[in-house]
Amino acid sequence: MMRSLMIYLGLLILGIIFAVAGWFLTPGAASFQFPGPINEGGQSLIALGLAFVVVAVGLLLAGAQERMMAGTE
Amino acid sequence: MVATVTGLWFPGVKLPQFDFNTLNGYLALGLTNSFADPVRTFVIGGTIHMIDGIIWALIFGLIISPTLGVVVKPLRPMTPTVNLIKGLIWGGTLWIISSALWMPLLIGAILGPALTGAPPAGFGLACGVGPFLTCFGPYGVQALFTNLFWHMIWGVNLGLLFNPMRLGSKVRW
Repeated sequence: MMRSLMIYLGLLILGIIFAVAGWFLTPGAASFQFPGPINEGGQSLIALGLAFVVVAVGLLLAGAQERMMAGTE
Repeated sequence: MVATVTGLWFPGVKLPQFDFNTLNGYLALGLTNSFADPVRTFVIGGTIHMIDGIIWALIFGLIISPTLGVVVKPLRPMTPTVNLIKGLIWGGTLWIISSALWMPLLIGAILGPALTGAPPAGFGLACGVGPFLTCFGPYGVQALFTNLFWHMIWGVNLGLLFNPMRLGSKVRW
């Protein structure tokens, strides 16, 4: 249980680091005007980092639900 | 629905916008009609995209999820974490299908000439839609990873919401 939690938190932190690094690598402000800021490496890092964050949050939520279910069985 | 709306918000975090509604509208109505009436394109494309999402989710619930449970032994327990992992596997599969087939073969065919065509008729860009989404108009491989992010949002939502339980389970929510 504890090891799973550490893996999920590690994935979450790695995702945040990737996203922040990508944010600083991508020049210019966020813009809804097409095409907006373009930086291949920076935006790839943002996308990968946020994908990690979403997956980690999902795993944490699923783990929390499992613990709640165990309490009601 | 969550992933579709989130895709529209992507420019807020410096990512390319993923407007699957409009892209589906281009396929349904053609470029000339779509550029003339972008609102209709968005609404019709959005309806198609929602129906697509429901069909893919039904395929997951009725076929993919039970099959993964039978074929892959570690995915047999029907716990929330295993259900989520199955959703992520299906989201990843659809990311591959989208990047390898849907984007380059369908969107590339209809939007590619407009993106690469000489101005003023086209945008004069070097790339239309590259193989496995390695480029998309002015964007490079970040389009591929943004597509992965989009499909992970979809997979996480699917995996967390689809939580079937065995008949013998005492848990009643």
